[in-house]
Amino acid sequence: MIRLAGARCCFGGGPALAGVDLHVAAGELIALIGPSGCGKTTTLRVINRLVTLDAGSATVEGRSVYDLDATELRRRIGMVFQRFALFPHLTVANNVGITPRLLGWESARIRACVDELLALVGLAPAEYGPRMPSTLSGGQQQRVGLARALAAEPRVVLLDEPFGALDPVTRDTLQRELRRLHEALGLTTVLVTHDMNEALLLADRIVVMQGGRVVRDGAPAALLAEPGHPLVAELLEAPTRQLARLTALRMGAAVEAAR
Amino acid sequence: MSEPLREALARLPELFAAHVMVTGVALLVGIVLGLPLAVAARRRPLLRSGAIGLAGVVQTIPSLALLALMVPLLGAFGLLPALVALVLYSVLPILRNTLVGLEGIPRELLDAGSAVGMTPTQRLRLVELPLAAPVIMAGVRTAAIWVVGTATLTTPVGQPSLGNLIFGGLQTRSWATVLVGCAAAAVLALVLDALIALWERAAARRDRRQGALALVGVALLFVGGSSLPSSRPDAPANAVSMATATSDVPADAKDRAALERVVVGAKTFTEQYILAALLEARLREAGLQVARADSLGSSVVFDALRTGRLDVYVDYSGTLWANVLKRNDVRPAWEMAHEVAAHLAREHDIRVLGALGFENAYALSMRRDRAEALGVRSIADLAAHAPRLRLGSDYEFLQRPEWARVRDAYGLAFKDLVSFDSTFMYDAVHKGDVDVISAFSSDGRIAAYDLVVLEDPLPAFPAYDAIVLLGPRAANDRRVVGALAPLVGTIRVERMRAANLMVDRDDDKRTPRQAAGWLLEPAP
Ligand SMILES: Nc1ncnc2c1ncn2[C@@H]1O[C@H](COP(=O)(O)OP(=O)(O)O)[C@@H](O)[C@H]1O
Ligand SMILES: [Mg+2]
Repeated sequence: MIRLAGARCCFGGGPALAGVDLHVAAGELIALIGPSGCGKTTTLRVINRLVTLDAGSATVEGRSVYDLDATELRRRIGMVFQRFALFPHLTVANNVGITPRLLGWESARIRACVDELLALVGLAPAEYGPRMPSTLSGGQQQRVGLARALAAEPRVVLLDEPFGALDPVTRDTLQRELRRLHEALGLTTVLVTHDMNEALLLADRIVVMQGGRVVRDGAPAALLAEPGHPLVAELLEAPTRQLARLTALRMGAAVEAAR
Repeated sequence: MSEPLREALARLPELFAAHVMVTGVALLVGIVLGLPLAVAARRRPLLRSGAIGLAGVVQTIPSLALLALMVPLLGAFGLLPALVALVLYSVLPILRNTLVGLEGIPRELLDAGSAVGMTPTQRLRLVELPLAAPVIMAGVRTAAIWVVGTATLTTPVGQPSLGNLIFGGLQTRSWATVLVGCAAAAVLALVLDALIALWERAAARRDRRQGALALVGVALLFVGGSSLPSSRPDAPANAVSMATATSDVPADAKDRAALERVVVGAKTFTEQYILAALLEARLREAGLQVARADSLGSSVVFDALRTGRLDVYVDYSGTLWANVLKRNDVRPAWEMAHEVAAHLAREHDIRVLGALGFENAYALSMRRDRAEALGVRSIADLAAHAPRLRLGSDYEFLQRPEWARVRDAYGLAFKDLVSFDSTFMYDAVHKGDVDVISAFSSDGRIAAYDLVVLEDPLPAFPAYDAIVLLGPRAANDRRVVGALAPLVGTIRVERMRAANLMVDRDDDKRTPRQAAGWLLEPAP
């Protein structure tokens, strides 16, 4: 579905991407993970041409992204931002309906689609549709962000640390909803995250990046079995410790209960 | 109600209308230019700094100077130079605020706009301009206030505005008139400011209804204000713009004998207003239609006559000698009169109809008691005392070649040189703030304050005979010539001083029109 090969790009300084190879199969949800500045966001933006490659190739559904008009391409790919990036001067309904509007859909169709999507992300359309984004909580805003990304029925969705700015409870809820939507809509999803727990919980495959390169690429189970790179081991350390502690606590509790 | 106040209020609607019109058009053009310029400049650092820098430089030029510069630069006077200067003033705040507004939009929102599939144009229209709107509106508001204020200064370049009341009132010491002009300009500025502030708040709160309401208010103010009825059927305040419009027709294409509407000009001082009213009265008596173009700058009025936008006004031989003939020697009065008339006829198709009979010359003048105490009767006597005396003058005098010549010819070295608005110069010498002033010989305050005019034995000052000039269209018009020729040689300097005093004094004040009526009565 998505394929990057030898992707390189620079922003004046050193290379942001130093030859990235990446393949995402249709229907897959992959997590891009790595330290800050390693090129996750840049990789994501190459896919919808917010960033232009200096070398290498990027294809979506078998066609180079550069064969298509950038605007056309973006209307077919949903994107979700870390700080929501809702248009503050538009209502929730108009935010969600923006891409259909740009595509020239009839207003009745747009309205129906907006209502359906708001319901899908758990916001009552009649109540939330007319509201301005600034009147919503962070979690509600990101639900709107998700609905906006899905409005034009894209097959590919890109998310850039979408839950990083949310409290743990809201984050957990939205993580599960993302997985549910991914499956229900048959999406191909690329999720950028700096949280290994999130990656382990949601992703079919985890792609670990460092210094503009992919250093490890595998299913969560494979990574756990064989980290294969010091960075991966480091990233897995915290979840592993949590799990050990949790297990110990649970065992202790069981022993206690057995007495 | 006093006569000057009544007249000011009668002229208010048409001047207000002219003011609103020029302000509105300048703002509109300022927005139409400033917005796209800002949009084009925001990602082009060179254009950006160039445009901001240039607009900033324009802003530092004093408004009056900028307006005056537009006249020779554009070779036109009236609406065009006024508009160009006001537009230049209004562009900077709009340009700067639009740039600040557009550049202040968070990066992520711009990315979001692109990511949802907007083309650059769609993103500008749907995201950037709406988000920058409150900041842009603040710029429009600043521009509006500036333009309303600066538009009062368009009077001397021939564009009627509330400035006509302010300039005219200042020159004739009619404070009621000045006040009416200032108050009207202030009210206009306040109302406009309040309406745009409402609009700005509506934009910030994304309140479309309120925004539309404010917009309708602004539109009503401009459309309604600029179509206020003119109090006089022949709309004198708009004379210049109309004359500009008709001047596009070549003069020869018209029947010269059939000049139906005569445009009378005046510079910016009392005597000029009176003489223009005098010419107007005579022309009306002869059954001609008359339009007035008052408070014109000195070079503007001559250019207007030369190019056929004005038909008649009174100028002074010494002024033309220096400014038009570019002469700085002093010749006997008869010789100057002859050369000026010949030059104007030959070079500019302008006819000197004749001298009115008095001079309005620069004349060094002192209080009678001071002059007698010092034993000073002529400028030659003054030289010995000058190092202990202060000279007061209008802004122009010290820059003029006449002053340099008089100073050098008599060896004058004053203790101090002070510039005043000519209105205040007489008060200053009367109260003793200065000892000598560069008075005008026909000014009524010479008699009123009991001043003496010092003799000029050399002579070093050229003659300044008041002469009636007819522009190319009026020069051969029998009715115009017939109406005005009887005025030649009929106004002695004492009568002109008395007429000027009637208008300039504070008690029992008369309007220029009343003073002109008095001059038309047979001399006692
Ligand atoms: N628009 C940009 N201009 C200049 N440098 C950039 C830009 N975007 C990213 N970079 C640089 O590219 C590198 C990778 O950035 P990014 O992809 O945002 O990393 P991540 O999302 O993994 O934190 C960083 O060194 C960053 O500073
Ligand atoms: Mg990032």
